[in-house]
Amino acid sequence: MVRAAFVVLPLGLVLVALLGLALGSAAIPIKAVALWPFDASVLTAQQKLIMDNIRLPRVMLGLMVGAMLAAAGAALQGIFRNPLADPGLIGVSAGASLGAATMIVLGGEHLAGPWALPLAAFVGAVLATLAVYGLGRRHGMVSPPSMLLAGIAVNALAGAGIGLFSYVGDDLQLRQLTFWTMGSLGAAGWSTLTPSLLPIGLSLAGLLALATRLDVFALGEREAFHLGLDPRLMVRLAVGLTCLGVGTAVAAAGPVGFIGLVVPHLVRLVLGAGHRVLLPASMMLGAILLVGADTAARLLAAPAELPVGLLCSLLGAPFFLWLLRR
Amino acid sequence: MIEAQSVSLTIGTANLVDRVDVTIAPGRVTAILGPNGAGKSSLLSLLAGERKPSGGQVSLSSKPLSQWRANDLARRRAVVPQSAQLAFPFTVEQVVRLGFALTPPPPKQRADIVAQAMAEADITHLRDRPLPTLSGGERQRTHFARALAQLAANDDGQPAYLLLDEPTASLDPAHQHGLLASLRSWVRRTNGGAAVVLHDLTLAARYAQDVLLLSHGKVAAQGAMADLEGAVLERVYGIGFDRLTDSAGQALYVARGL
Repeated sequence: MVRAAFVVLPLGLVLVALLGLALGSAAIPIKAVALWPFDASVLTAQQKLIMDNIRLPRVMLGLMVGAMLAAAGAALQGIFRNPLADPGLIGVSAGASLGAATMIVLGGEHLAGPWALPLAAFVGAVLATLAVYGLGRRHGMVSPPSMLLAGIAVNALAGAGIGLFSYVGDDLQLRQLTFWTMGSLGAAGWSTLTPSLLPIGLSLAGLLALATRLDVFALGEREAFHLGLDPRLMVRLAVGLTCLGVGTAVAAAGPVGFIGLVVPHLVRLVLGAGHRVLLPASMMLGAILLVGADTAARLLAAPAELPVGLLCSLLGAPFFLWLLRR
Repeated sequence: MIEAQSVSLTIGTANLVDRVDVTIAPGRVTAILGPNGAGKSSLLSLLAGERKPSGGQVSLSSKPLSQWRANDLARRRAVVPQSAQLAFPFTVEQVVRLGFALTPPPPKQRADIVAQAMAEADITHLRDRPLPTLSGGERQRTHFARALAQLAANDDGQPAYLLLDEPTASLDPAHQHGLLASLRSWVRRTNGGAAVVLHDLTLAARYAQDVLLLSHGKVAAQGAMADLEGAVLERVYGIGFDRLTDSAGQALYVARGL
């Protein structure tokens, strides 16, 4: 099963990337897309322009953000030892959005370099996670009900903060803010992609390296210590890496919901709970789903497009309810 | 050996463990006895290095536990918890393998270590079942196998220590005896030491060379089970015990009723 998955998932990744590059308001033949890396002359000048400046950064960003959100979901579920943890539910995404909103409205133009937004989103994500982790503990153990309640409170607080900023923001800031809260890959270009590459890559690699430790941690904090883990260090590392990645992903694409919750669930159902399989498989499936959803979002309302975050929530919420019922 | 010297644990105003001296020696099984709330689990967590004592100190091989790195400590002592909540559907075999996930033995030995640990705990037939679907007793046996695998993986000649918190609590009689017999054979085979929290005095008499009787965090009696006086037991437990002899000549402790 695991072996089959590690054949099917990479194939799906290639397929969905090709489709994502080929489909859109100006369709490019898929054969030409596939041959393009080897022979640039298969595309017309106009197609090349679309490919270089729009489709390629967009698909790449979609792959990275999808992989990141799914990996973050898997990692947070491991740290909180609860399958309900998700960057959206426990407030990490909301914290990142609030950080981004703060930067958009208060940062001004001189602060709006390519690193300012990811950094602000990262700080917001860290603060939200620390708040939820701190409030969600009872007698040194993570208590799921308190954690979820703390997540609801952090979400509400961040939502109010974003609302406040949209109230005081000017028209341009308001438009930018609306973009964050819906989640979209529409603004993807090299200027959003390039600064995201390093933090997301670091976060993904770091989380993969923590896979065995997350397995051990699933037994419980005390048991993890008995087995030779320093649980506090592990939690700090994993939370830090998750916030780095989610903060960057949210800064680039807004808070896209449900990928972080649904993807690890699905993978666990089919491939089991071990993080050495769960993390890489979730990354691939998350990337496939987000790029697939983004391509669908472009086609459904062409030549306009749906925000992909909206589509993910529209499809993800009923799917999650179905998961809960079975 | 694991040595606790006048070790105390105070949380708020409660003295959970109050100046206890105890030695977990290689080649011996020490039973920790006492009524509910006597501080048995708290003492075990101090011996495991999981909590820092409020007073006194615990050392392993003459080095205080606070100076051991978690990873080095894991090569020398394992803990079987009273109940561990597993958040995700890991299978029995995966859980046993987690025993040495952070202190891995050479790859060639792994399958044997896992197979032997599962056989000792009588869970080989459950190997592919997800842990959360098992009964409490089967889960307890899985954690026992995990602890055995953890220590088998680090056989460097130095004695290792197994600390078990009420490992027989949800086991049927055959598995209660089975687990303690395999604990004793592990002690003999590896010259390791074990401390086991028990509620059943008969099991303590049969499988432990030393007992430590706790009452309100303090040591009420220490020594061989056979030397424990009935009056002390009655005072500590608040109920009297009859010491009988079974058909094989082994001691049986039966509570008299109130």
